[in-house]
Order: sequence, then C-alpha cells, then structure tokens
Amino acid sequence: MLAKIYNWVDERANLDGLNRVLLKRHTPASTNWWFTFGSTALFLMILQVITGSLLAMNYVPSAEASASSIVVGPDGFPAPVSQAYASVNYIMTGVPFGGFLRNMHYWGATLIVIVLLLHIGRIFAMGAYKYPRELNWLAGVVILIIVMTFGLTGYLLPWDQRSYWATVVAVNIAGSVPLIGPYLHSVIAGGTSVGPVTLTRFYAVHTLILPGIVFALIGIHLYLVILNGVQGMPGRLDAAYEQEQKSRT
Amino acid sequence: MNEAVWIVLGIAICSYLGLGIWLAIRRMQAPIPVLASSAPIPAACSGCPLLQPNIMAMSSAQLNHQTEDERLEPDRAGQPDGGEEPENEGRRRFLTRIIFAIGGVIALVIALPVLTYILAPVLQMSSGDSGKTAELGPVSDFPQDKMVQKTFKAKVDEGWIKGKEVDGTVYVRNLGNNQFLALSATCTHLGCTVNWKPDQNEFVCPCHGGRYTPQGINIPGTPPPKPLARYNAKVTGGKVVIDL
Repeated sequence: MLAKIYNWVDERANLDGLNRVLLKRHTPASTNWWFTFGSTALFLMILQVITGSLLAMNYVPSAEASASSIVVGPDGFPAPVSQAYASVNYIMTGVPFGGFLRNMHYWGATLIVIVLLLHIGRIFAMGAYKYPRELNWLAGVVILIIVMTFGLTGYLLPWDQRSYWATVVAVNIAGSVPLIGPYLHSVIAGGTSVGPVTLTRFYAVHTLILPGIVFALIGIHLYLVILNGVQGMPGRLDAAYEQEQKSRT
Repeated sequence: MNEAVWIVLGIAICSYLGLGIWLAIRRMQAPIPVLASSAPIPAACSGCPLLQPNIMAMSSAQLNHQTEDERLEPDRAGQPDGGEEPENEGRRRFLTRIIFAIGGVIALVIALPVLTYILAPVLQMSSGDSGKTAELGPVSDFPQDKMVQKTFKAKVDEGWIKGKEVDGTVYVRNLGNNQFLALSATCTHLGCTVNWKPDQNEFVCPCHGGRYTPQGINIPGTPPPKPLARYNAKVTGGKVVIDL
C-alpha cells in the first residue's frame, strides 16, 4: 500500500531522484563517528524550531505588567509581573508538558552550541575546509555567529533578573566598540537602554529574522556538502568514491 | 458532550484501521487472478512481470524491467558489486529497518507531549468546575415566581491571563424553598442575548426569532438547537450566588 502511494508520487515528482541524491548518497569508506556532528546539529536545530514554535503559542513578548499578569510567588502571595514572565510561568505550570518543552528548548540551545563546536573542530582537524570546500567553511562560520545570536536574543525573552542584566552586559560590550559603539548599542537595544522595546526587537529577531537567514544558510551548506562530497579521514583515499564524485555533474 | 465526540472519533478510527487490516490480510491470502480469457500466453511472454496478478503492487522499477539498484543508482549500473552481496544486503535492510524503528520511537516520544501541549485547551475545557462564583444580589431582589434579569461581572483565568473580566446576563426565577432557576441569556443558536417576554411567557431571541419555554427549553421549529444553559444557583449568606 505504501509502495503504491510512493510510486504515484514518484512518477509525478521524481521522488527517486530526491532519494538518490539526498538519502541514498554514498560516503567514503573511511567515515566514522566524527562525521556525525553535522547531522546532529541539524537535528537539534529542527528540534529548536519545533519546540520554539510551540512555546511561541503561549509566550507573550511584552514587558508591561498588568492586572491580569499575576504570578504566585514562593511565599504564596500573588504579585504583578511582566506579561512575558507571567506567560513563561503559565507555560511551566499551566500547560501540560509546557515545562518539558521549555526545558528541551533551553538545553537544546546549549547542546547545539556544543555540537557545533565539535563539528567545527572536526572539520578543522581534518582539513576539510580546504579546496573545494572553502565556501562551505565560510557559510558555516556565518551559521555559527547566527546560532550564537539566537542564544543572545532568546536569553532575554523570559524577562527575569538574570535575562535582563545579562543582556545589559552584552549590549554594553557591543557599545564599547571604538567609533561605532554608541550606534551599535542603540541599534541593538532599540533605544538608549535595554527595555521593553528591546524585548520586542529581540523576539522579532529570534523568531522571524534569524530563522529565515539560518534556513537559507543551512540549505546552502547542505547543497555544498552534497555537491562536493564528504572528505573522508585525511590520508585514507577511497578511490571508487572519488571517481564517482568526479563523474557526477 | 465532549466525551461523546472523542468516543465516536475513536470508534471511527479503530474501525477504519481494522477494516484496512482485514482487507489487506484477505488480499494476501486470496490474490485476484487477472486473465479472464482462456487464450494461452505466448512463450516469449513467459516471466513477463506485466502479466503477473498484482500489477498494481509493482514498483516502477519492475515495470520498467530495471532492478531496484539500477533505478536508484544509474551511475553504478553495471559496475562491480562494491559490497552488495546477499549477506550484506540482508544486513543493510535490517539496519535500515532498525534505524527507522528507532526514529519512529523518537518521533513518538516527541509527538505525544507536543500534541498534548497543543490540545491543552480541549483538555481543560471538560474539567468543569472553575471554582469561581458570581453574586447576583440579595434574596429580596427575587420575588417568588417572577423572572428577574441580572447582569454580573466575574473574573476568570484564561491562559496566562489571571482575572480576565467577563460579564454575562442571567435570568433568575425564584421557585420558592430557596430553590432558584438560573438560565443563561445566551441563545444557543448563534450567541445573541435573548429577551424574556412576560406577555408571551417565552424567551424570544431578537436575531433569528428563536423561542424558549419559561424553563429555557428550546421550542421545536425555531432556530435554537438546544435549551438555554443553566447555572447552579444557591443562597449563600442571604445572597443568591451562581457557579461559573
């Protein structure tokens, strides 16, 4: 039954072609576990997108406190807080598996940076940034910077003391750049200092602007990997693989 | 009412799957022969896959007289094996299946919390008692056997919002003996506010002409599909209070 559906779509959309190029592509015989970090990073990125989208269904990016954004503190007394903090608190306490999804997003953020650093380290150690893969390396560098920006913008969103002051420090560091420092500071903060405007700005960057850019870059990155093939362990040449790569258009 | 919807949905899905499984097993056990005529098949056509019974189940590779490998890897067609001996092939298939199975488990572990998270408002809907009440007024406001209209303001929690103000209109009838009939004034047709007409002894909805009896039962032949909703009303401290 599944085969019939597959054949129907394949005759109209060339699924076999996609299959051959993306999923059933060959890798040199010398690949080992070191070569898995790129896929792991991609998997974590997809996970972050999914968990992030779900969190966004309940999160409010507003630093305004209102009569309706009340959180019961550890002392048992309700206190008015910002709507952002109240919505995060609701995710943790009021929604089933909200805490699970938020923690996955939180730890996923840390893990993706670690996996990316391992990936970069492996590429560097094996010299896989050399010809013809220089463009891929450049795309990867930009992806790294964007992932770190994801971390910076996402850190502010809960709008609690730690988020606020960490962002103040980071934006001040940006402001200490000679010549353009003050302009950078005001562009990033959205004003003279980190405030409600910054929260809105960071939320838009974190959920709309950066995902768009990083999806395009990851697409380019993967395209280049498939085009140039995987460089196996340095010093161990797989002749059949090299010949196949050369003969492909 | 919501439980009934889930039960019906569950029965529908299970019966669909059950029917599908039963039909698949039957087809495996009794394949349908293709040739109705008794003309003999020419010798040159023996072994032709196009004459096999299950032509619809054949992949495009078989129909095009290709092997699976030729179809998926035209570059390697005709080259030396490179490890595709039968024993490696079996190993490859097994590992592929295991990887897909583990992937399926991972997807399930992620999908169940995700679906519960998304469907949270549905799960919270049927939990019923919100614990909030609205005060309508002292008992003296409600003379015996007269329909009295009251508006109330209440605060409910919705999502991250605590104490969202809602207001409503309720019709209350003092039945005597500290019993009260409290009907919601929201028409069950499309949500307009109904009016009590004492001279007609009916509730009339101004939007589409829906009518209800004095007990709030919808009169057949008019638009509303169900009776007006009832609040639990009781007397607390000399005041009439309804549960929200």
